[in-house]
Amino acid sequence: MTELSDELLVAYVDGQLARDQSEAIERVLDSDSVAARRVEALKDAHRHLEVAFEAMLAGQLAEIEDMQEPADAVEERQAAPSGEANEARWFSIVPIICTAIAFLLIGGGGGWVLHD
Amino acid sequence: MVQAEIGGDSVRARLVTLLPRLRRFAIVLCGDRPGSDELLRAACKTMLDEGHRYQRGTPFARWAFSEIYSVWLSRLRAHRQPIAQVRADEQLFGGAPNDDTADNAPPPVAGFLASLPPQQRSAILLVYGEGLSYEDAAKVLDTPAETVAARVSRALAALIDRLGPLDGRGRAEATVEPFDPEPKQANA
Repeated sequence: MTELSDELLVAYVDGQLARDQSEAIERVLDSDSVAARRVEALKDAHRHLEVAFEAMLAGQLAEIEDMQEPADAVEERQAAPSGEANEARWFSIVPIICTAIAFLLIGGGGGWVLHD
Repeated sequence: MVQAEIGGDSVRARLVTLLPRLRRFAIVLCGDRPGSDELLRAACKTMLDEGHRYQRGTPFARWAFSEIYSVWLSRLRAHRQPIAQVRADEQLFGGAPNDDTADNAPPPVAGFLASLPPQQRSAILLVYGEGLSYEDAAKVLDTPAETVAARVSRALAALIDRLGPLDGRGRAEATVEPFDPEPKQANA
């Protein structure tokens, strides 16, 4: 019996195989419990990575939207008794990226594209 | 020959909408905040200056990722740094901090991502984060699709080891035998 490599199983889990290859693997998995458990483990790892990258993207969205707060909201916060702390936070997350954002935002823009 | 070009304003507008995803990609490549911000700034400037190189029909995001990767690689080569980078900042791979939690420790997968070399990390981001096929990810990374497949496979296997055993997690033997979906006819 041909043994299934991790690379082949990963390609199967990732949906990267042709239909006939996928169907052939599924026939093997029906009778090979070791390979079937390996596939479940690979699917689990796949899910963990998808969730992790989604979380990263959510973090980026939150940071960038923070940097886009309206100027009046920034002024209001800075005038508050705790304005110093808030201002420090504001400027602590204004790295070089703000230059790029300002550069890109000339002319306005908005609405993030999360997928093609 | 008429080149299918898009204007500078269109490139700018598209980059703005893609910014969170581009920033995530830059972080995955550099592994640290200052480096990723500088990379993104430089790549955005290049794309704005040379937007004429983008051709309609190519998904814009893929072109943008390719440009960022190209800038990153050229800088890496110029500095003669080894591909195996020092460990990345784990906090960057943990997503937005949860104000409700007592500590903002990043999840276990964040540590795993931080430990990977950037070439492998970028491959799995493109496949699992951006949903690209191996072939499209390979175009972004200017490498064969088989290389992307190998990187992705190694990453998943390593993550399984990291996550620990899960009720009989099996291990397939790592072989290189070709798998023929068409059953061979038995010899007479």
